[in-house]
Amino acid sequence: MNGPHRLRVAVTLLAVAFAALAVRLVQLQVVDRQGFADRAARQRLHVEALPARPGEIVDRNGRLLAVSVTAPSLYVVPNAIDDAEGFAARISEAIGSDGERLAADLRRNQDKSFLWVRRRLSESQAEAIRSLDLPRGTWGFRDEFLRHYPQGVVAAHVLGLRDVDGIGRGGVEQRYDELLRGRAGKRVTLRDARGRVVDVRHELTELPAAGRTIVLAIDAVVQLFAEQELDALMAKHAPQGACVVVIDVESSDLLAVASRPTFDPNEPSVAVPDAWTNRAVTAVYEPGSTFKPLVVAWAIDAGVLRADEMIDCERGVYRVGRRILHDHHGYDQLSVTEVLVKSSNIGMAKIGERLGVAELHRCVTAFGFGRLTGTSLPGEEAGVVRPLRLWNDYSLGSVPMGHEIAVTPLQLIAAHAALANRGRLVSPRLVLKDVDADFVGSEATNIGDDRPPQVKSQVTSPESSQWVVGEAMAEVVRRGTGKAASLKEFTVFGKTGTAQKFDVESGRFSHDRHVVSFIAGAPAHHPKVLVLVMADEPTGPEQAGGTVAAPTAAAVLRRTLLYLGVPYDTSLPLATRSDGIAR
Amino acid sequence: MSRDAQLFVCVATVLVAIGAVMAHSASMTSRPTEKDEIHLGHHAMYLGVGLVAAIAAAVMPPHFWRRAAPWLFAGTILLLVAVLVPGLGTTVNGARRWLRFGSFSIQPTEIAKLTLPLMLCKLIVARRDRLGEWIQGTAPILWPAGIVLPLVLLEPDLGTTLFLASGAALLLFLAGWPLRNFVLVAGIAVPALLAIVLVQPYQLRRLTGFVAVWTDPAAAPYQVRQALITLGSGGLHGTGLGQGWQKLSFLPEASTDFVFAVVGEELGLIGTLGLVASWVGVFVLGLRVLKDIEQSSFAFLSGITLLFQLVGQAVVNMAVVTALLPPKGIALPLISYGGSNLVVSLAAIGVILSMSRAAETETL
Repeated sequence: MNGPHRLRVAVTLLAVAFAALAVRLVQLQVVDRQGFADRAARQRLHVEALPARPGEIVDRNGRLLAVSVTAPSLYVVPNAIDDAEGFAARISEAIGSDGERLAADLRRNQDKSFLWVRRRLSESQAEAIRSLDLPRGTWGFRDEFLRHYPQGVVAAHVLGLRDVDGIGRGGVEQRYDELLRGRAGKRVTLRDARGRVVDVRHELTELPAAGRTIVLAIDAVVQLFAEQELDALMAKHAPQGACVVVIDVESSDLLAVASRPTFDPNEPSVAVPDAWTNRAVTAVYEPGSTFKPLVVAWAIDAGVLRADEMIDCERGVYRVGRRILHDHHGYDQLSVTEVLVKSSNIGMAKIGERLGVAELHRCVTAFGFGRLTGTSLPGEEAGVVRPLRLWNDYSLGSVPMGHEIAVTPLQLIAAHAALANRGRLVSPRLVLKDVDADFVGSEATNIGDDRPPQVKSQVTSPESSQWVVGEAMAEVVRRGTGKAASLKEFTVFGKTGTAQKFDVESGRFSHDRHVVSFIAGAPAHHPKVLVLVMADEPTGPEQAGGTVAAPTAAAVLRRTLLYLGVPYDTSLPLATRSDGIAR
Repeated sequence: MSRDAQLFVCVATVLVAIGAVMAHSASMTSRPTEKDEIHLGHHAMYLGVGLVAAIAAAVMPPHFWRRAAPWLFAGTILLLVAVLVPGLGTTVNGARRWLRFGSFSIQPTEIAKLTLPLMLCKLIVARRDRLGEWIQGTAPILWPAGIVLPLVLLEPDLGTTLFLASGAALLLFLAGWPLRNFVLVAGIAVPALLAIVLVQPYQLRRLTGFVAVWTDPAAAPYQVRQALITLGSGGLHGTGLGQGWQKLSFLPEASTDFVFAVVGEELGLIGTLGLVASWVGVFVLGLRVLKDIEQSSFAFLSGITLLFQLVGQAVVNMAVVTALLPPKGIALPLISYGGSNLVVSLAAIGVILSMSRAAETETL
């Protein structure tokens, strides 16, 4: 009988199996434990970003230009929805969207547990969704930050916008995105395999740090004036585009930067493609006659020109090298003031010949042309100033009247601000500082750290600068090409400009496309504010800076000066008005 | 009852108690609802039925089982056929294994685990002297297996078929079936088995997945991976009863076939080795309870076969959970949540106790 023997074999086999099991358990639970524990932790720990509230953008007086509010974003759980068509139809009716498309999205994602339907709903849309009484677990709201621009189109190009994913696009939103965005926090949650939160690991939570508030140099009221007058110009002359820049002469603070066509940052989807261009910093054009006063001041300082001398304007025809220059009207002898008032090209060419190319080139670069102004707005152009070795006699007859170089409106107004500021160039400033969300600690400014310091240099002497501004340019408005810019409350100084456009792509100046501009400031004896109006290819019968741009510049200037409370000066005796220096 | 029998019952009771606690713990969800309570209630219901069955089985005299074996076997065949009838059997995941009566369901294959060995024992004992012969000795005793195994395979339930076949083989082995016959049968059965595995893609996947666990754990099937993570992360002491994470939907079948992994996470190595030790206890005490019976008797053969089957199923389940064996739907007796297996396991303990009294009465 082999019964007992066989039983022993069977028992032994089972004993071996038990032993193997015990060894395996020790291996899994002691030797390899850490690896398994890590994997278990990984599959149940979830790191969830806590979005930081983006900082606000305010004007120099704290007026809100961009602010973030929370808005409910609607999501659905496709795998919990039975009737995709009916579901989509009800939601679409409530928020006014394409039901067919939503139904298709639902079907395509039917094994997913999360799908955005519409981000950042309005309160009425959210209420409409709530009142649908959809089945629990099939939908929900998640709060997201919605960027809101309470002033609408005002300063749109300066601000730029924050897109659906919270990334700054264009303007200050892009330039200072890092500061504005803040730092997202995180929350670590424990979840079951279905993704349901079971516990929160508070000790691992990092709170989000709200973005910094950016204080602009812009004054929203002046900006509004600029926007309104610009709209009027657009309606009247229908140019391709136009821009207005208003600058505080002493500080070079940009009080307004407006550009057309424009967009409403609250409704970016309806904007025309060209609307994103901020012409104040991206339009590159020949400044034309607006450039002349700068050369005159430089020539006086260089000792090649006296403010009271007469220049022979050759009766309207003058040969410079191989080239013959013409004036609109022929003049004999013109004072320097008259050269500017009549905008004589021959007079300017003679001044240019006296300076020579080297001195002329120094003049151009000293006023800041050919390089960025320092506002660091996205897309800013440096303009075109060819190197000195490429300049020749031809340049003597073109640069003094604002040809052969190309500038941006911002560069031009900054240079004129230097002239108006007794020859002292201060690089224009768009952003004053950044402060924390509660608007305290206003001196703690990171912007100062990552922005080049403001350039401050004496470009021309106070005397010559004041004479050009207070005497010659004031006369341009009083009786010259800028008459349309005169105001009854203030003595305005200014200069017209009508020039050919520089085509960046072909590298040439266009002959049939004109840019008309006007630079105006007041009061002439002690300039406070400077306004530049530029219109790109006006289409109406009026094609000159004095008729298209000057009235707009005057209107913006007047409203700004009145708003700033600058005292009237036209009633003052002439002597105190223009304490111009004649050498 | 002898001291060994008392201890045997005690250890089994401890396992049943652990089972009730673990079945409840493993069925917890992250959002407790009444459903969790229903789980425990369900388990208690099966437990109640099982205890009644166990006591009833234990009080029966051993010869009752010998007489009743054909009737029980016939009933099992009826149920096995019924489960294959469309409309009667309930299909889950492509396999038709359950007969459902309201919230109560019966898995006829589980009952076969009890009735097939009894039937085979009855036949073997009657022809013990002619086991060496094929026509006279082997065919007349093996025909019940020839009916049951194909029926189970048809459901399809390869795992249980193998399990039942192993039980029958063990019985033949202990009864003294010639060793050369085992070699012969193995020569036929192994290729046949391979053919079945290779024909059914999902069976093949199970096997390749099992091989993958040893070579590349990351490529292992989700269930095996999760079982190992669950066991391993428990460490020496475990996370504490009811505090395991893996059962929150990470580990499939946490309360049924993979409840051992939950024991590993919540009670640690202490818990798992304790459970293994308890099963060793059941086995050793079971052997002692049956040791005085005449080894060629119906009582001894059926008692020892049921004991081996019960403990063997526990070992197979724990080996599957620890990835020592390929994945296979098999419950951990007495511990896994509810079902026919709990009732039949308890009944088997009752039958073993009943058989143990054969030594005292010497009627067989």
